[in-house]
Amino acid sequence: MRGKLAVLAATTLAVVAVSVAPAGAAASYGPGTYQPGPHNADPSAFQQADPATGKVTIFQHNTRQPAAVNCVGDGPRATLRAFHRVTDQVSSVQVTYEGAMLSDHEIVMDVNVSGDKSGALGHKSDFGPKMNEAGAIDVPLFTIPKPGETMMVTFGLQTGAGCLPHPLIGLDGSRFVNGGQAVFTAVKVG
Amino acid sequence: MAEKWKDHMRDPSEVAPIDVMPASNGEYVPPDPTPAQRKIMQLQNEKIEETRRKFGMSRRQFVRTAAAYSIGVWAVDQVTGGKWGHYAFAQNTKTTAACDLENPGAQLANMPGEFILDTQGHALDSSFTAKWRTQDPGFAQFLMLWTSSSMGDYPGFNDGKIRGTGEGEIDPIENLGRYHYFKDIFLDSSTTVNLLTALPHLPDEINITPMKWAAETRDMVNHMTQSERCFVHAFTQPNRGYQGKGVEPAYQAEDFAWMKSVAGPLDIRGWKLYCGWGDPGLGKLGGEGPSHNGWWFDDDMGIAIVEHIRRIQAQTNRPAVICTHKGLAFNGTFDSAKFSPRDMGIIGRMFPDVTFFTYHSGYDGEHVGPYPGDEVINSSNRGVDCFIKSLRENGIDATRFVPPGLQHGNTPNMYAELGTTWWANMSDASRATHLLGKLIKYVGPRRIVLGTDCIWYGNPQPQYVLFRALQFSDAAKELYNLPYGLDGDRWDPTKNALDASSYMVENKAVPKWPMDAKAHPERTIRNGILGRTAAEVYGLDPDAKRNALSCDEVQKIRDAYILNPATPKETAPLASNSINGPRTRRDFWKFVKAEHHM
Repeated sequence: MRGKLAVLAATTLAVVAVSVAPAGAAASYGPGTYQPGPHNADPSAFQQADPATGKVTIFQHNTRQPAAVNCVGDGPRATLRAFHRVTDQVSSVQVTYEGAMLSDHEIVMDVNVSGDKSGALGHKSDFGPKMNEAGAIDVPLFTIPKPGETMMVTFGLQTGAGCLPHPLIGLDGSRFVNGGQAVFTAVKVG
Repeated sequence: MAEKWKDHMRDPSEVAPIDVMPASNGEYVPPDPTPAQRKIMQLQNEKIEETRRKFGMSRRQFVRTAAAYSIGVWAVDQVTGGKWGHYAFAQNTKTTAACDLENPGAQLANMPGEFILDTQGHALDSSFTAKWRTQDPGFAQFLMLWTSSSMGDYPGFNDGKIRGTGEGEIDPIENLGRYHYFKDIFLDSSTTVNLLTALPHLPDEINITPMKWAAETRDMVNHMTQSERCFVHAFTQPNRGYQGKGVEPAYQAEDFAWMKSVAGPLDIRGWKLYCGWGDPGLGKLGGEGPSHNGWWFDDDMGIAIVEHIRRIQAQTNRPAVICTHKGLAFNGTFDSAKFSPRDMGIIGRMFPDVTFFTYHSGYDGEHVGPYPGDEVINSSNRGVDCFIKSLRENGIDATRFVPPGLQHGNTPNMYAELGTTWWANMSDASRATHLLGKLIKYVGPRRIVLGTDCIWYGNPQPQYVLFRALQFSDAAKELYNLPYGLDGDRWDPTKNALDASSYMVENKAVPKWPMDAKAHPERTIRNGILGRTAAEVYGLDPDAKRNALSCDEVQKIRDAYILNPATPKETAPLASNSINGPRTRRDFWKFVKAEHHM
């Protein structure tokens, strides 16, 4: 068992090492160099993120039953990651996307930048609704990463769990279904 | 024979003061009680019967004593105390077979160093002339959510008489009005100062707590007490007249002008926001209601209102304080998605000169345990962990601000508020410990404040009694690096604030560290959460306030109201302990049946 874990760990490290491109002041990463990021979805939700194409999809049907004042559940989140080894000063990250279809304002396109030494470096979001839109999310870094550290850019779609209307009092509640899809075409570090 | 008024008032309940059983407002089937809840109530009832006989008291009298509170604390501890936490008074008795009737934590008088500033008090304009009652009648439905205060007759009980609801009023809304606010908060509990906070929506004249009424209530309390016992928030919103993405809402300018006009004259100490309070939107006749068109702090509407609040508070020489509901979804009544705390870290970093209180700490009924880690949490959900994640992904969680020589830090400008969150978790010592432990670690020992959400839950005293008693287990102390639990000094939690030896030598990491070789209960994390932390933000002097209280009118009323004060037989004979409303599936259906025969 320990041997299998060692092989798995070595393989993972090799994959990460290949995708972490040493770079100068500016670098760009695209589909094929992405890694899978963290993801969530309870049985009412669906999530998918394809590192090969950059396509990210989330969806949920909000038929969860609310309690008196609560709506508990795990809304969908699907993310990808790009890694960048810092050699020169980096002050911002830009993530570009196309074909964004987001049903509601609550569907969030999220970009999170962190460093393996510095921790959180930058964070920016954009929101729906979007109808087949292309664009970019610019993330100015609030902390400048240290030379030699590896930056991790986590990007994708997320939303919170929705429920049926509140028993009797509820108006129209959460949308019956909601979700979104976008293709993340590039991560630019500069 | 003529009927008398008292024929229509039911007798005070005989329910134990710490009542952990499920409740419903009569609109949904309450969940089945858990075995732990059943056990807690069984233990309480047995011990109450045994003890009240010993004292020669009726049950109705006894459940209003400090001793009955002690028994409740003991029962919760017996059932839920364990690996992560326990309730101290039971642990400190000579035996653990019964609770200690000398329990100091159950008293109404404040404990050493204690200054209780309840940061989330509620009440509403209950007069028949209140505009909201005719122009926004739907709100009355929402108010019926609050089981403790507005519920009607006992389930299934209908003898044809008109009987008062909730706390005894024929008009259910009156149970949430000024008188009961005054009684529950200032007479039935240990509250020192109450922040009367605000509720949606604008325009203010049809708000259920309109500012003129709120200011009158504050002035009445402060006049009667000749001291500052109450201050107010105002509600505002940036999205009234929503017109679509990227377009300024139609009434935003009007509402911003109103804010400016009242901030100074009405002495508004902070602004209460509900990102999930939606708006029908212009041009959508009978269309989307408050369950849509809410806003995020990091969208155009959110940034506009934060900038406006910062500007007008500076112009009126007041601290820029923004308090916002996050968590508790009220699905279908609000745009619940926008109650995710995902934007708190973003806005906190964007506006370092503004103080943000995250009400409910993002809690939404989830099972509370240790923080599971950033990879696991989707910050767009609701929950305490989502609030923590939001701080962490924006680099402003407390672990990033640990001063040299110390082991705990505090976020620069973010506060975690515990209204309903504490109430919902206090009956389980382990959940309560994890809730506070992770907030101390990630938000900070000087960044947590206890609001009670009362008058919605009636008398807040059970919340204080359990809060005073909570102790971390050794495992929890190790997990959260809090060797003295909530008794740690909140500037340096590795020191015991209740131990005089902590203050015999200089602590170079903490400026103005006391060196008088005395215990400093006012410096505990516990007393910070109970009120001293919020007092710092709002510019109140807790020690001056406590001195003033001993001779103010409320204290006189309280003295007359309590029998045998500060003794084991301390009694508040009129305290209303009961949680009304169906407590079981059978109660619920009895209630529904009775309602239809009214």
